[in-house]
Amino acid sequence: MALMRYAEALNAALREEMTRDPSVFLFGEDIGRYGGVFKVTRGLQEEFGFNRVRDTPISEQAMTAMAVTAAMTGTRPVLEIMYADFMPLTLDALVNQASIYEYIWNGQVKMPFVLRTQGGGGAGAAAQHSKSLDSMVAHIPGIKVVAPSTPADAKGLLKSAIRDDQPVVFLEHKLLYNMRGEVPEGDDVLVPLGAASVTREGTDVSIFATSRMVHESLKAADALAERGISAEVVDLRSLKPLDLNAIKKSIAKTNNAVVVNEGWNFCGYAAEISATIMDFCFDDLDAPVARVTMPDMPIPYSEPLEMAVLPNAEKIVAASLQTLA
Amino acid sequence: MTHPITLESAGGEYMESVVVVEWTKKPGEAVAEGEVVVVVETAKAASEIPAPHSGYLQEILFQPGEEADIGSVLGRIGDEPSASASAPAESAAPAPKAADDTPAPAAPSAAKGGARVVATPLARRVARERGIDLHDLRGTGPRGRIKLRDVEAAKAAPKPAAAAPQESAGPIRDAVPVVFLHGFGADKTAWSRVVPLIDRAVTPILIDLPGHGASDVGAIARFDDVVEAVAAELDDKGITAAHLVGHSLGGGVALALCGLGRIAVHSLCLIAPAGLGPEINGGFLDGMANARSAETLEPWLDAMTGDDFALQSGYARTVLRQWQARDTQKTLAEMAEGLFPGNTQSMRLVSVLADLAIPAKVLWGLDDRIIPSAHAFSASAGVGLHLMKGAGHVPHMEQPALTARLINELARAG
Repeated sequence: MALMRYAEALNAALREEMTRDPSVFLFGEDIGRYGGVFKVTRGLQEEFGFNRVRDTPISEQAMTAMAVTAAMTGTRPVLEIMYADFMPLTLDALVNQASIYEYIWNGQVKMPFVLRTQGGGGAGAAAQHSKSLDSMVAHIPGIKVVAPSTPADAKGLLKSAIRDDQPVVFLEHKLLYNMRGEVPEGDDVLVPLGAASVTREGTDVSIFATSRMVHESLKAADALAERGISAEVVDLRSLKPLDLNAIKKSIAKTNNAVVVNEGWNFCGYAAEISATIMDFCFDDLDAPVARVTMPDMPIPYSEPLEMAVLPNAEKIVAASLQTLA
Repeated sequence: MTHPITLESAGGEYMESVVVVEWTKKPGEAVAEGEVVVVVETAKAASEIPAPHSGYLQEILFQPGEEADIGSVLGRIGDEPSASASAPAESAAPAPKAADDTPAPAAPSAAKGGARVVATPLARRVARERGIDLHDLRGTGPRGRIKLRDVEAAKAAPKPAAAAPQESAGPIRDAVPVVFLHGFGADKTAWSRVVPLIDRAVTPILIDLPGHGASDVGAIARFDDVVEAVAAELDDKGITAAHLVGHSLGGGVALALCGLGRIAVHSLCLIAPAGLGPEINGGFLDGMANARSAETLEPWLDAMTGDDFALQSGYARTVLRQWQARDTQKTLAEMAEGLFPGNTQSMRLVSVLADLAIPAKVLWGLDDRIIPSAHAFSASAGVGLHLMKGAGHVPHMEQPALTARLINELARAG
């Protein structure tokens, strides 16, 4: 085990996969000479050369279309989109190309590319640089969506994503890049796509969380424990494919569910998980499923206002208590 | 599908008409076969009518105070907790408050004989599994929602005394059930005097033999096939273990089931069973099959009982009417010819009884005029013999308290 930051873990994953497979290459805005705005690609251009770590102009739509064709023709591109807020520019390539080519060409092409991006609020980055658009990409059939919450998962999931033959959107969180954590060493330590992780076991209420909200949920679980309530925190990790068994197993134990996601509430990722719980766990529920999400509004620049609207541990505690009322 | 609750189910008390005293269930409530569902009053006494089938009380056709003729359908039991169950106008709960003044068209959620129960899915599931009626619970969740904890509390708390003290409002019955098998020419209502006295911890299962009562199966002339049909019905009901109680032909079937090994028999109570000797009252068999009027049937029905017990007047007429409605006598004739050819019992079960290794009793009325009580003495020493003074061929009708006590002893021992 090595203690490293989330950004360093991602960097290690990229380095290991580029070393292992010469067809893996990176491109994106400011990722080469500058090492990326969050320093995830630091040192890789020096190590692997300009050909495999390419700086691009500000042109997300063209970059994503490039990734699609590169993947179709036998390489494994890893594209960085600097902010998740710019994901709408990538959508045509995702919705009309990447997600369906394998299908419409009857399996004659594979689409092994990874689109890395980062989102989330809490950094005072305001309405154009703080969004979580998880549901927008998770909505597309044929695209996998991953959101690691720890350095270990960041490394293990990114390696799995690069090796996967389907397009994977890899959602990082800007407030997690500096988080330190133990990361298992070894080139082949992978975290499989489609597997949730029970971060904290409990018996009274299941909190299903994604990305940074896992850490807010853990804080909430501590606060609930002080009230004698045992909360289980499940880190979904793979937003899609979803680990339905982990959800069913947890609810069978606790009979109560709170879903936490930093995206907007309406048609959001938490709404999908809530509906899935009602589809598959209805007779195990002893209360309506509660959601803790971002209200349907722009993210304010003002720090007090931003803190007021983002989901946090306090709101998760309140939702859990309401569920158990 | 639905199952009518008819006055013919009233068992021993047959009169020309009755007055409905009370329904023990509300429409929409679950009811188990054999459980008292409605109390009627005859000229003589109040009589409890057991549910002919498990399900949900769907419809009440006679309100308390109304008079119903013999043969009337008093209400219906549905297999599903139907949303369209019609509540009686008087007892209907306050209608859901209308949000506006527009009269609602047929309101599908208004039903089930009371205000809609607000309960969580888990509470509903657990209550269903435990046979707890959510209408009886008070919810402690938000806006009075019934949660799991309320169902758990209901299980722990003693049930408030029901109106009819000897009848349960459906407590959890998870013990091995007691399966009752009636005799030739009768039906499952023959047990109506005994069933209310059976321990509440055990579920009574009443079976109509093939060709009898409301059985779907027609005449079966071979004894082994009758046994097979009953075994198949128990299979269908998911019964893998039971205490068996059988009377006369049903006693022979119960005994044969022990030998068959299809279900785990925990104890056996035989009441004047067939199969322990050749003799049987041929006049009775012929009379049952051939009587065309109440006057000619009555003496044969009287022959079932000992001298101390008189069947009610009107009994023969009611039985005959029921039989005629179902063409029962043709079936009885066919079965009698196959099972008792030449007035001889074709089934020979003494060796099965001798091999039994479970608690077992044989009950016999000393005044039995259908099958001689001397057959009782072919039982082996491991079987308890209870020879009942003053009783004839139907001790369960003539001396129900003693009969029930002996059945309960077996159910507790086994």
